[in-house]
Amino acid sequence: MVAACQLESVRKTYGDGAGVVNALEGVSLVIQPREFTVLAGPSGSGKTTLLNLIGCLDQPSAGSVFVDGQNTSGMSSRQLAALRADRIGFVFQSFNLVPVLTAAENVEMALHLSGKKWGDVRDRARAMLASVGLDGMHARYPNQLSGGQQQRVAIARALVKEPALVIADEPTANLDSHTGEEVLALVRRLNEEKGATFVCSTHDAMVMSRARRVVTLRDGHIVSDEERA
Amino acid sequence: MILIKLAARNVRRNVVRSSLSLVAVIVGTMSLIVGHAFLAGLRVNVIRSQIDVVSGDAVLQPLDYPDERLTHPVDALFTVEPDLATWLDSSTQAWTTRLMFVPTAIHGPDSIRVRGIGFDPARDEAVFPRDAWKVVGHVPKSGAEGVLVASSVARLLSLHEGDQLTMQVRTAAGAINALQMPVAGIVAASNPWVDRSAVFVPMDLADNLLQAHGTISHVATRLADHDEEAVDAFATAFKAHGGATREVSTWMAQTHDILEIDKMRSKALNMLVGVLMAMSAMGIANTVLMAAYERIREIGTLRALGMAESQVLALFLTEGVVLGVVGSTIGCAISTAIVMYFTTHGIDLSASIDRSGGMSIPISTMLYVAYESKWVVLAWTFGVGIATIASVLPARMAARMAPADAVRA
Ligand SMILES: Nc1ncnc2c1ncn2[C@@H]1O[C@H](COP(=O)(O)OP(=O)(O)O)[C@@H](O)[C@H]1O
Ligand SMILES: [Mg+2]
Repeated sequence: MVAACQLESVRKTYGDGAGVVNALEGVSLVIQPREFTVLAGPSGSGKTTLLNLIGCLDQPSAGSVFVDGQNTSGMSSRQLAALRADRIGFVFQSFNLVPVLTAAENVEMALHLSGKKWGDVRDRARAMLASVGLDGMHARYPNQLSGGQQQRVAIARALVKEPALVIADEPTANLDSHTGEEVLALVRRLNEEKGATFVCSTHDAMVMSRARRVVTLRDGHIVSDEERA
Repeated sequence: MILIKLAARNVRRNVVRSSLSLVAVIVGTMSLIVGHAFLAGLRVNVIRSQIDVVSGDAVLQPLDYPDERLTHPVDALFTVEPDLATWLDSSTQAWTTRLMFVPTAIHGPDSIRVRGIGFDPARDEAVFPRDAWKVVGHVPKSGAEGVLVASSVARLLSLHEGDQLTMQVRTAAGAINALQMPVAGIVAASNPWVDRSAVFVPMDLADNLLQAHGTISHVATRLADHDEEAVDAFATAFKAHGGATREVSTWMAQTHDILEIDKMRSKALNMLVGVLMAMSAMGIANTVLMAAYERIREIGTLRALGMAESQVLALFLTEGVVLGVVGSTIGCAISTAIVMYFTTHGIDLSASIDRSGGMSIPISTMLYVAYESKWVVLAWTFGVGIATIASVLPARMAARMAPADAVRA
């Protein structure tokens, strides 16, 4: 079975000369399909940097990153974009919905950009919104939705194209704890029902307690990688 | 499809900013179209007035005939030989003779120098149409009926139809002569060359006054075709028939100085339009740039969703182009409406001509602008082109942002 994602001795540095920052150093990690992995670690430990590499938004300074079996090193910006469009879904801390598009259009956008043919894009987007509990909200604009609802739209947008990997960078950080728990429950349910692979960063203990696997980063190194029951 | 929707909605996101750059494009296109329509109208007006009121298409006059204001020497008058008459009959649509002179017109205590126009009552109208004339009384058919006085002259001398007007001149031989003649009518010709100073005197009476013995100062001709080449060709032949002591002057030569000024006006207008268009280009570039800066995180999101650089480029380019297309279209539509209105509803220039003291500029006091579709096409293309070019750099900046940095913003 092809790993959803695999990192081999990855290093990522920012800047140059005296101001160089080693955001990641010697990171190796394999994430299997259907896994629900949480990246933990204090602020500045390299979580976002790692997620950006897995999500093909960026490329490592050294080492290699495989996503869905493909080596991203040496890919052009166009190839990376195509890989993201097809195989990777994103959920952001501050939702990042396109404000001039409705909930349904935000979800449809992901389908339009992906390289595949989806049949009736509208129906598919609405069905996806219904499955994240937003039945009847498809015509609303982001500013007409609560934070929790916006994050559900973002999750629908990430999952609608059936990606190999869903990347969520601190998805509950901008939500109150109750809403955060609901959103996390939704993510867990989708992980089980749809078999979607999730990599999720957080420093929220509640989120970590729900994970099967917690990878902890500190100063750009993986300091622990534990499976939980 | 959804990309077009997104681009269209983005344009409406910052209404104030978009409106400002729209206004800039609208003003730019409008100044080009309306400005040139007025200049073209002025040009047509000058040419038509010259032909219809002053000289016809070409005039035969004594050598070195002066073209200063209110100067009509009578020391080199001539007669139309039968040969020339025959040739003119066959070569023109109409021709007539005029005897121009500068008498002192006297009524009661008042006297002023006027432009005496000795005209042939039978032939004059065929060369100098009277469609725009408003006459109180009537146009005299012979010297016995008296003279036709221009409105300003009548006002200055308090003349009314039926009054007696005294005209005093130096005759062709240099003696002083004066005659009293009745006012048959008062004319307003909508043309300052006539209205400010003319007194139309039937040829027999003018001849008597000047003791001209059948000589005249001008042979004015009207051709079927006013086209410059046709008039030039005619003028060359006319000169050959006109003899060595006379010259031919065409409407082109007579309007040359005024039309040179017009060309300078046209250049000045193009410079103004250039400045306005540069301003709208900066407005649009700024709008697209601000849009890109405001939406860095959104660009990052779209890139994360897999949007290619070229699609981001297209998205922002579209924003600028939409502004250009909408602005140019509105500008062209408004200007076409304005221009169309003033092609049928003239603008009355008499007040401003009076103020400028334009004693005898041969232009009609009613200005009808001239609609030329080429300016509309040019303005639209120019507006859209400028908007597109102005959007390229900011759109490229948006497209080339590193997605990882953009989503972090
Ligand atoms: N674009 C960048 N340029 C320079 N340094 C960066 C950049 N992005 C992140 N860093 C640095 O890399 C380190 C890891 O950051 P990040 O991955 O954002 O950590 P986390 O998401 O765990 O808070 C930090 O020291 C941060 O300052
Ligand atoms: Mg982070």
